[in-house]
Amino acid sequence: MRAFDIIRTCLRNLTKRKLRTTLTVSGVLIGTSAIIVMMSLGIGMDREMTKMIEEWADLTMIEVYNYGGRTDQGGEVADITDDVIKEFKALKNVTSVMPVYTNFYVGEQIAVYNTNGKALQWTPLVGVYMDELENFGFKLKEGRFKQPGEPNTTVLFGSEVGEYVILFEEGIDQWGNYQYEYAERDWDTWELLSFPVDHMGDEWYIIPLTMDYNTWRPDYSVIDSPTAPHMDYNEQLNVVGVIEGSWSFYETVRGIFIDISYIKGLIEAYNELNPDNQYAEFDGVYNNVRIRVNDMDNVVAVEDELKAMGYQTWSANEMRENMRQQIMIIQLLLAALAAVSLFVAAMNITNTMIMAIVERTKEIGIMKVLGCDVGKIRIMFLGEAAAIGFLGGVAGIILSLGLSFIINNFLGTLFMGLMGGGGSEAIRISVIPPWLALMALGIAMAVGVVAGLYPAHRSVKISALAAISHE
Amino acid sequence: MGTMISVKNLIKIYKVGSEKVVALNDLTFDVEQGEICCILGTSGCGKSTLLNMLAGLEKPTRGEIVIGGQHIEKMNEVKVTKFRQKNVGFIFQSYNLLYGITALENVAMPLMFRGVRKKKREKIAFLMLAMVGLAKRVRHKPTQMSGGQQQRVGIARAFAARPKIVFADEPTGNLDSKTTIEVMELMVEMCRRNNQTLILVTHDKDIAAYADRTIRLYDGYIVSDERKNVEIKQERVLT
Ligand SMILES: Nc1ncnc2c1ncn2[C@@H]1O[C@H](COP(=O)(O)OP(=O)(O)O)[C@@H](O)[C@H]1O
Ligand SMILES: [Mg+2]
Repeated sequence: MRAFDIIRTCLRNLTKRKLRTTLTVSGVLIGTSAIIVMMSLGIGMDREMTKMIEEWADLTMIEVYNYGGRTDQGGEVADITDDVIKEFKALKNVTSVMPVYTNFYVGEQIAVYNTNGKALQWTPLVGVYMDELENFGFKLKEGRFKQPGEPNTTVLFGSEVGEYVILFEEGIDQWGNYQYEYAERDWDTWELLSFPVDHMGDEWYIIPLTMDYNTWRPDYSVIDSPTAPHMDYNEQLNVVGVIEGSWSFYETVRGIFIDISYIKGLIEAYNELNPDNQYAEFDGVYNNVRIRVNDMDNVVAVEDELKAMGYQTWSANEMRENMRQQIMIIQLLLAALAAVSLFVAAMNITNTMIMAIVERTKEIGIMKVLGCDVGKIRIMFLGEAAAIGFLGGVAGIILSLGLSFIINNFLGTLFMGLMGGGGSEAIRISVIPPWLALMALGIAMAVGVVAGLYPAHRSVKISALAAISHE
Repeated sequence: MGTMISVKNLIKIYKVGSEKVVALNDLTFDVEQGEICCILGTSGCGKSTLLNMLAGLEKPTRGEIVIGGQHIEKMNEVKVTKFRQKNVGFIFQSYNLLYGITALENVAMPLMFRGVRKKKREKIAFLMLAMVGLAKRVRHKPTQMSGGQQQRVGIARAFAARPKIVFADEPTGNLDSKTTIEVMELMVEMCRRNNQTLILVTHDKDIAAYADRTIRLYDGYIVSDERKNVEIKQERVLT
């Protein structure tokens, strides 16, 4: 008997009992679409959440701290030095390691000013490995990265450096304040429209300052004063580029990136100029290190290794994983509910098939007497059950695509409204990727086949003789 | 002409509760190829039991059945089904057609089991139905036919795959005398055409007239075995 004939026979038997087939298929349809919709909600929630986190967080970055404590083996936690950083870099899946040293604030301990008489304010001076920036994944808004071999006065600006500047040459007013200028901001998009300075066009200098204890403000009068000892440390900065800022790494927006070796000299100069206000010398120990991992799925593993070494870590990914686990639990619960309906559908199929076999006992007997292979009879009934599963699965996919559309277009906006978000942004809380649809179809067919096993077995056991002599 | 069927010391005993019913009692006979062999006897003498045993639908209690060199009694269900598919056609008293499909599809069914393509088997089925005089009824379902017509469909089905042997169990049992003659002539003609062996079970002496040979059963015994007026041998004589 040919496969095609078996399929034809299956379909004929199914279409002969239209109502019964429709009802049985409906059961599978409901079960399948329940599973698809429930899973799609989980997938959609996960995607929305990842998208949301990605907007303000960097999911492949880990921040490492050393608060002391113990390693897993109970040993002393090693201070994070250049050597330890090399160890970090040797960890699997780590692509780059970057110490971040942010003790100095431009506008407080030091001044960065241009020849137009404008000095930067609220700007952290970020000591990093300048030659590692590109490898770490920093993006440029303009200009280029520092080339190896360039002097350590080569710097990059954060994207919004110079948003606010003081006009130090004008002197202070009667209340002790400098005049200031700031950039215009578009308050809808939060974009800066124009800067009071030209990042790469202006001529920039750096100089350590001294606190004026009368005003509790740093004293800018040392700039260009030939007698001030500060002028010995006055150096020109070479701004070669502007970093594409991201609020997930605040310094990329507000900071000036400079080689860590330069900061070391700066601390010494500052301490010399401020005998009453000493800063801790840089002793080669970093308190904050950022690690870049090749893929967000490897972040947890790298974090675990770092924790085993005794360090504290933070990553946006960790939070994402936590949220993800919660979503997965919800998803599993929903899928379990859906599975119940699929189980009912399976019993329904078994019942239908047993009825079909009882009705067709004589027919089966005749077929056996006429030489229909026993195995083919089994396949025929399994095929019928699988076909019910397949039809239910396909119908279930179609129904769930419709439900998903409704959820996203009507409930989605309602949901966003409740969350207080702008209704304008499209949010898809139900996502049906092709693999989900195919998986559901596979499950539906498998349910059909499993539900058909017992009836098919019974059909095989029917005695040909008893069946044909049975009136 | 060789031996088609060879039965040796065939015994069938049914157990009904604690009682034993001996349905066939030590039968031994051969059937030649191309022979039309009638098994004649009153109701309950064991005719159907013998036929079912020959077709492998039931296992004998003891004894041998060799058809075309193969031991039927030793085959399992899968093998014996395959054997029937290749070698055996069936005609039943109650026709045993499938009522959900057309006459054409009924006749084509044994060919379908053999793996013959739809186009080819429907052509054969059509020719078979034309031969039994139902060319105009090929698309009808058996429910729309008279008993005689249904049995003709049954005959067409039994011969469609050109089996070596056709078993017919009371094929005219449900037909009137006029139709009985038509059906018998048709069966004999079909058999002769391809030199097929026909085992014909009946309780009607008149039917036996169509056969080359008549084996009489009585209560599980063979009481006579004669070829068209020539007695072959007497198995047992009842005392
Ligand atoms: N399945 C069975 N179980 C018990 N007894 C049976 C069974 N089949 C047939 N018999 C008995 O065997 C004998 C022969 O039956 P059967 O071959 O059907 O007779 P026939 O076909 O000649 O009328 C009868 O006595 C019948 O009651
Ligand atoms: Mg009988």
